[in-house]
Amino acid sequence: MAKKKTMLLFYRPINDRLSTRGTHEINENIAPQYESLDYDICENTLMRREEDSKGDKFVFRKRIARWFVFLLIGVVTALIACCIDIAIEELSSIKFRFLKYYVDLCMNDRCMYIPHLYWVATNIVPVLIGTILVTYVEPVAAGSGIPQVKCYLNGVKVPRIVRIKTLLVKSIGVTCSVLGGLAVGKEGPMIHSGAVVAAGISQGKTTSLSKDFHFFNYFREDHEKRDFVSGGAAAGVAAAFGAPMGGVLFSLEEGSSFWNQSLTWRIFFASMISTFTLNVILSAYHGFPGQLTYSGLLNFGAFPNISYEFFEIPLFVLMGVLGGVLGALFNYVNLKLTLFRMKYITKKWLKVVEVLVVSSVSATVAFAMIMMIDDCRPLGQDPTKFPVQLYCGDGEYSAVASIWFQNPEASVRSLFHDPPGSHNPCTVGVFFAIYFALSCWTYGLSVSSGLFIPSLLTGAAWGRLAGMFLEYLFPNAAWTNPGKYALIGAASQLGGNVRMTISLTVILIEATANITFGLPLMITLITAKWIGDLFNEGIYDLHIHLSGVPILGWEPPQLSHNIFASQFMSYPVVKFNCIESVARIVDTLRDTIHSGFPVVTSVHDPRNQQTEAGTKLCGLILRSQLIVILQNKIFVENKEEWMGKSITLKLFRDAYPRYPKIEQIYVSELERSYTVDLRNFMNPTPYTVPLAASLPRVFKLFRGLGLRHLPVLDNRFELVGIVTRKDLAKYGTNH
Amino acid sequence: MLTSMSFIFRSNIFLAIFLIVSTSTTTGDKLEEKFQLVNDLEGNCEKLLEDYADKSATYMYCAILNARPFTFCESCVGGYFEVLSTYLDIYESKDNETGQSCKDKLLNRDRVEILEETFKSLAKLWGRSSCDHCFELDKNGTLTKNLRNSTIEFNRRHKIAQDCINEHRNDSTSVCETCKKPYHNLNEFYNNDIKLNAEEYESGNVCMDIVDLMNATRSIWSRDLLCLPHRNSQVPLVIVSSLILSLPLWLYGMSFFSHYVRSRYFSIPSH
Repeated sequence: MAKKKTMLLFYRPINDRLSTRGTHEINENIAPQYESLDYDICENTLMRREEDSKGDKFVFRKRIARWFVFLLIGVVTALIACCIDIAIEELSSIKFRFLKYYVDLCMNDRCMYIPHLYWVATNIVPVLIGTILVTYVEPVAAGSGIPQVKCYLNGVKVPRIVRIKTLLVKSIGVTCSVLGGLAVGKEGPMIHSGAVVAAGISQGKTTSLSKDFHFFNYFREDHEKRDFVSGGAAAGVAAAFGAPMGGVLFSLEEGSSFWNQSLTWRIFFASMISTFTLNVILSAYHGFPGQLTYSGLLNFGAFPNISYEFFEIPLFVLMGVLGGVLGALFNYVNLKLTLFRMKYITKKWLKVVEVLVVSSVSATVAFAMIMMIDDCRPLGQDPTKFPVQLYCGDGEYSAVASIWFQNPEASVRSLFHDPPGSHNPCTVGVFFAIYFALSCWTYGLSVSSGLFIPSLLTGAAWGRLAGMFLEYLFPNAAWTNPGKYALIGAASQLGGNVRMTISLTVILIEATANITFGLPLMITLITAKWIGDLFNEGIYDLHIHLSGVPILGWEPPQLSHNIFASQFMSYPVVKFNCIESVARIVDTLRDTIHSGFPVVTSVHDPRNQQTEAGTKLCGLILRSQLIVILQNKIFVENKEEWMGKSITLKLFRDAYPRYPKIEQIYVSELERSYTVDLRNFMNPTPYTVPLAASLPRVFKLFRGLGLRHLPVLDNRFELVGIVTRKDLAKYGTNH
Repeated sequence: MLTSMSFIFRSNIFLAIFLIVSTSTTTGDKLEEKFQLVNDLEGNCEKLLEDYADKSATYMYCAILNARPFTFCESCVGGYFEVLSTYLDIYESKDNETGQSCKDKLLNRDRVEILEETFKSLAKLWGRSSCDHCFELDKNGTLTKNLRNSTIEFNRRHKIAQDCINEHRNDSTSVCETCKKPYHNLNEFYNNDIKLNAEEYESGNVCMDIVDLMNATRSIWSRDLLCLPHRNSQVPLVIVSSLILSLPLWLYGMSFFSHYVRSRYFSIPSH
């Protein structure tokens, strides 16, 4: 009776069964093209044999090499960040000087449409380059890259994410899009660049350029590569914000599902080196070579005399609430827009046209705002790089124009640091509305674009507005510093958009070199996250789920202990025998898309040797391993051909990370009749769970061990199903 | 425990008393020394000190008088030179009796350092006003009292503009037109010659007299007389902008519509 019940549970259609539970939504939107990484090391005979042949020397060398790779990651990531920084700085200063010249020239004649058209043109040209690169050369380089890196570190193999081509498109693309006046930042792409650099350097080869340098080949496996990538992402954050601690914590918070202490130390090393390299180069670029403490290196500038009172903390909480609501609104609108884009803007040329439209509208809106709002400030009090007089009196400049005639990052800095009274509330208010809309519209376009700076800028605008309002209410109070409120606003808006907590707090602390302000920042960010989470997910998670990546959250879904492996596993399982015919392997690989196959052996009834009593799981073999075996024709029947050659792990490492497809492998008719002995290649000790294992239990195994396949055994230890990441990801994630 | 504490405490009191006694004797010595010093000041060093006091008072007086409107540099350049030379004298002279240098006698004697501080503040006033940039430098690169050519030219142009404005001030309708030329002469000269030159060679420092005069004139021109650049009709700009702003509507409308049409077309059932 009991058996019958379990059988029933088995064979009821899975959706039907789950829908009755009601509490757990099934996310059917899991895209098939994503595969898992193999974080779990395959302990097969080859690997054991290799370990036997290596001594302490090898372990030592590998350890040194690992540190060296982290050093290189830090340096190279910083170099790329410097290139992007300096390119944007130089080119945009040419652009704005050119525009200022024409605005000044056209003041007296009726030709204001000329600088406007020039502005549109100087936006369109770089953006066109950027979007063509992204759309036609490497679409995976679109967006900020943080969602993709997050997926990668979570254990999902996002195709083409860490290729050198992606790196090139990303860094040129982001330079172009910032230069093109889009409401974007360069920080996210820098983080992605760091990840690509890490993946590239640690492998000692590039498949894109088909060049193998033959070093670091012992790092050619998903396990090592992923550790390096988390270091690269950290180095990217460190280079983008000058925040080494923030980098480590970013990697910890957003990225790695699997973490160990020695990795933390190495990642911190890479981040520190990255910040150091960046500071050395940028201090030389700014004309203070060697002065690593030069204050211009701080991303958002130091707040020298920032102080806060106890009674301000409720104000910070309020601002956090506002940031959470605005962030949720941003995410909602962006989600709808992305859905619209996915449905209607599907052709590539249409994507390019959309980008061009956004960039010309950005220029037009900014220009209209400059022309319409009169906000004149005396020259020489605030630092303005390109003061435009426009309709102001002589000796004055238009404050509106000065906000727009600089990069978004510089605008953030001026909202943070301009002395009280240097902005008009009306200007800042209109600027906030426009920038909120523009950045929401821009994110998700087919360009490389970071979200950090636009969010910070939007937040800084309304934060400063709040600060000005407080200043108006309490004219004589010393604590009303609009710059301080701009910082809080920026933090809360960014927190509301991306819902990061610890890393964001630390990044902001480090980028403003202000530890005493840590508590207000933390309070604001926590409030923003909590309030935002009431409405929807963070923008990165929204985009991850839209693209159907099977990502696993921090924790298993709540209240799911009553869901058993029997309910969410996949079955029937495609399995191989220990000695399997080539024909069956080839056909199976061709007909299925699975990437892991349990290997079983038949068990005979002890009383009657003739009848098979069932099968027994004896290992797990990966598609990639099978491909390499077929490619090298390691068959039982032609043993004499390959016995002489050494069959080592090197064979598998050389093919990593891009294995040929099964269609690309030629197997002759004769070879089809041969057999393969899988026992030397398979992982003989895969982790398994019994049928009654609950969802949280399986989830923790996946998360903690970085599993890819988990065979499910019944009470007679016979293989009945297999759990993969996609089976778990269907249950959604709770953060 | 307690007793040993009180012992330490008591011994400390003894120590303190001892210290007080011993220091009071040494201060007595110092006072005598000081009286000695005052007597010594009867020499030429004392004269220099008095001189310095006079000169710096005059200079300060001049500075305050010429603070608004700002004509500090041109008016007080004489005073500044005198203060400078007296202070240098203190540095270089020697007491004609003892042969001790006045510098050792007067400067760095105490922690308040009145002489040094006052000199610093006087020099700072000069520096902050960028007054060096109003005057000619001689061949050796030292400052002279002669105004620079550019300063003279600026003053000339300013006078023309100011005269014109004063003359037509009451006629607010025509003043902008009539004085446009002299005012623009002045403004252009300031922007293109003085300002650019300063940015190129003198790290952007312009003689404060000039800056203030220019600011005042500009303020009269733009604020009081309201001679602002008038807004031309921007019809072409409005047309171009509205065209560009309508682009998103076209883009999204067209792509939505074409998708709609296509899906309609494909969903017609074939019989």
